[in-house]
Amino acid sequence: MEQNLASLTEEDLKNMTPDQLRELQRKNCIFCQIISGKVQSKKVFEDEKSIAILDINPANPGHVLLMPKEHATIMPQISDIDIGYLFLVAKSLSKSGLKALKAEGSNIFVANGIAAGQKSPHFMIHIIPRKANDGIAGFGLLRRKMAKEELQAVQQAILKRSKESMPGNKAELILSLEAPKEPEKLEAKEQPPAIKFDKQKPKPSVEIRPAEETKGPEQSDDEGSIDLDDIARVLGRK
Amino acid sequence: MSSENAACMVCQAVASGTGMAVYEDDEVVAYLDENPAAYGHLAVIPKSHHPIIEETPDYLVNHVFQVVNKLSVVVFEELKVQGTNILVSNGIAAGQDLPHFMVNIIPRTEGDGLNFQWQAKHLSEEEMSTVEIVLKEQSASIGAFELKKKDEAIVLGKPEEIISSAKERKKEPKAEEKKEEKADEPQAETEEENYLIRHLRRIA
Repeated sequence: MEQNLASLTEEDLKNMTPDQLRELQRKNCIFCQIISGKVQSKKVFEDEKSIAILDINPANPGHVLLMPKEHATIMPQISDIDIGYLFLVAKSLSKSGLKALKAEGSNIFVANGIAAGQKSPHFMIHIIPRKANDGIAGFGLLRRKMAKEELQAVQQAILKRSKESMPGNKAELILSLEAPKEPEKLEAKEQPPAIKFDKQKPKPSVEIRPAEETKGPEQSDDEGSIDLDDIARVLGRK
Repeated sequence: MSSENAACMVCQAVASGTGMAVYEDDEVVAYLDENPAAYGHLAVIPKSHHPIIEETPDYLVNHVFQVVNKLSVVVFEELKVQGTNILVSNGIAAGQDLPHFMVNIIPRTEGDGLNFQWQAKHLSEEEMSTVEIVLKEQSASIGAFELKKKDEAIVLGKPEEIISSAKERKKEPKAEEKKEEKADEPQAETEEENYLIRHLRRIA
């Protein structure tokens, strides 16, 4: 199969229909081979639509990869119904990690596209059990400062598009309540500028959050869901 | 679970309606993050108060992620980005900073300075097997999701609308895709193809 792909020129690929390309991708997808059982894996869950295996290079013990059985590369190729279902399984697997591995939290993570750090040709949801000071720093969000005008331009652009493609969308554009803008400026905003992200301007700053400080001392008496309740309660206290 | 929590900043923001909303329905609202990790960073939030995903009812998790899926497509198309990250942080140990379950959609472009990577930890074969066994055991009962809102014989809050729109959507994108490819929009076509080709290269 590898040869099959290697023997194809760029020209061949260009001339293939999307369906043919997808079929080719499926044939060459290592995860499709895991799903079909041709390649071994450590399965922790499987049903008709999905399968969850242990990542062989885990960020933490219990790092699970949840995949739809049907080959898809990125989320937009998957129907809303299937995405809703997959994330319900993800929720349950995250809970499994909290209970079975005494994790103190979890990250549920998807990378769509190489620019987003995607490394596999098969769509997957990472479920990573977390503990305080486990050495994983990658999921802390860097925060940027952006000018209000820039924010409003992107809000307007996304809102306009989402109103077109999401009929139930009731969101309305509210232009800065605290600081009403000059009429001319408002007019100018009706035509959002071409969207270009100036990487120079915003200065990312890492938020460092002391994890222990905020922890409440309470313990739950409920045996079955001690971890869960604690995790939620600690947050509620903040 | 109360639908609103007076001490929760997110609930307050939802109630005040001052956030930069890009999507809203009866159950869910999506805001533009005002201190974004990337240009167009969105947070999709259930209106009712649930601190973590595990405590969020199934019907709502289902609905939230259907909205996430649609919005991630919107972001791809509107911002012409090369990727998105979907991130949920459950618990302070996972970096959660607000006491309200939410899903981050982070648009990505090459060289944007973000890096959601991790160092692989080495586990012995024995450790891996132990983890496999305990997780498998704990996960054996996964399924039978409660897709109806409790105390109401309603699926996903707004039944007909959402179900039918979900059904349409399932077909729609494909129809649109084909239209685009056939129509005289060679740019979109090459972009899509390049994307697939890049992926194929990686596999090869």
